[in-house]
Amino acid sequence: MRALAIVIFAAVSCFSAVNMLISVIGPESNFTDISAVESGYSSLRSYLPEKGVIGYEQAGGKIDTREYYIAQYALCPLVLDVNECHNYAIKSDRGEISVIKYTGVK
Amino acid sequence: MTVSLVVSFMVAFAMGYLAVRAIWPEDSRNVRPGIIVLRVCLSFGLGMGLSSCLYFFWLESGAYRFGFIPYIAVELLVLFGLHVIGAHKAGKTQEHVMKTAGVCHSFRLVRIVVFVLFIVALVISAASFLSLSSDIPHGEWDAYSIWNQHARFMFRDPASWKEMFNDTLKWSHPDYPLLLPASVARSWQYIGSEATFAAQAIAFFFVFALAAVAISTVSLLKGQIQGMLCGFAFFSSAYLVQYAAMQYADIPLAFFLTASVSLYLLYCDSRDKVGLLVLAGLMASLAAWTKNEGVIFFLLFSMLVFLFERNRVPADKSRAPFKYFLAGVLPVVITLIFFKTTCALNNDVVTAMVSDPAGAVSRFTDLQRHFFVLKSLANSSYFGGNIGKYGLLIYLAVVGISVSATQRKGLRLVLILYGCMAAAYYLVFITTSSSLEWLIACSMNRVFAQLLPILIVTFFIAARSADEMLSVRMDKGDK
Repeated sequence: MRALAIVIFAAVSCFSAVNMLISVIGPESNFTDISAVESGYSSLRSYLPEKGVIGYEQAGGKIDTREYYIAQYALCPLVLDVNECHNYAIKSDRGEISVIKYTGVK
Repeated sequence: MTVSLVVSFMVAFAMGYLAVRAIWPEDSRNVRPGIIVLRVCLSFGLGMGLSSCLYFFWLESGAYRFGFIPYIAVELLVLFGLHVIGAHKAGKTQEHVMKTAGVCHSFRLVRIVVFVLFIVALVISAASFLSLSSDIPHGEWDAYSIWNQHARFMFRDPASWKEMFNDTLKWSHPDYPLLLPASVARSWQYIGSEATFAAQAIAFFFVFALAAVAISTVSLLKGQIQGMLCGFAFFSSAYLVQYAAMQYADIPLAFFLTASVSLYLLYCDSRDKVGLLVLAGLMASLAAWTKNEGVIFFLLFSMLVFLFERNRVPADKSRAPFKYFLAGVLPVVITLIFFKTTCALNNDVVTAMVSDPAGAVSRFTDLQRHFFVLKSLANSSYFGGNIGKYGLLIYLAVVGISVSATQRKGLRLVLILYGCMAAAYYLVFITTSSSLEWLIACSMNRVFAQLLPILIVTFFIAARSADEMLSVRMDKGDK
């Protein structure tokens, strides 16, 4: 009985591991392709200062947190500020990103 | 590039290995697979921890201005110093041979079946990790918004790495300790570029070292089959592999929590081998250097070790075990205090509680919040795989509980510690000023991932040893 319990425990655990593998190799995936997003930002890098704080805006005014976090990750050590106006800002409009240069910002 | 990464890991590993050897000297009479695996895994974790501290000081002191070569020279110097200390101690130490459960050479079929399934589960888990990790080379949410982002600040511009503490980036928890980001940034420095596989490799090593520490501890205390059963519990728990592939710091944290607890359990069983207690302290302090939850663990663990060890008279009657524990924690605690006082001044949870104590009290007295948290706890499957919590209970009912007097003492500390940790997390959930639904949704499973490994080790040390059961069956059959 106890030997059977041991074998059953091992077999069920093994089955769980197989289930996990099946779930991770399945075709459906909702992960963001960060490498692709990064390559978009790298093309803008030459228009931005090397360091310091710049603005970050999204079309419609509402910030998509995931997009903002990925932008910050891509542009380190620049700091992206969503609250205040700065000389430079990144603008994201449904996946299209651009650099805006403001003048007269203190 | 790959060679540089291997070199960076080898240097960190050597640092950890020599530190483990200096603290817990090798004994040629006590060379067994469980001990070798345990030493290797502890060396990896300790190496990552110590090298991340050195890397932090390299940045903080401004020594990065002289380039990376002097840093490598310092690491080599540390290696040499640890080697000298280890060689000096090796000549002096005569250790007790660590007791282990008897190994049954019979009941071959069950042993073979369990071993084959163990290898299958191990390979499948590794394949799951590699598959998921290749889909998300930068990791998931926490990885790119916290850990790898901090690593980028450190690597991309050492002169302005402190920009990560800018108030604008409060959401990225700049007060979180630096073990993981500094380890990733250090590997990138060796490679010379931001290769995503450095962070992936660190995540891979941590999750499998975590399983190996638990398996080897249970093997040493309860026998090899029991150790493999413990391994099954790890490989069937999807959370652990998923969070590792997502590059979350919860897995390195779980490694250090499990290593501390495992070392204490081995210490209790080893007739006052104080080196194990020093290592347990060191691992607990590295937990605090990994995540803020590790600070809670470290404080509780230190307090409990003090309470359990203060009246204990060791075999040689001259040693005070808690002093050894303190000696282990000191280097990393100094680093952590330095970091917390000079770089990361504010923690969002503490700040919210201090700034609005009345709000925290009113949330604590809100029974609906308690009901919601308890219901979420009950609904969560803390075991992950198909066995589930009820399967575990049925298994325990079939095999029964069997612990020795020395194991009982260690398990008592671990269970109290586990209860206190769960209570501390519960308190944070109840009193948080953030949305409770949001906090539960994004952190409940990760809290389980941190604490589950300790529970698995405790479970398999408390459960009657599979090796022992099979021995009994063999004896009965012989008669």
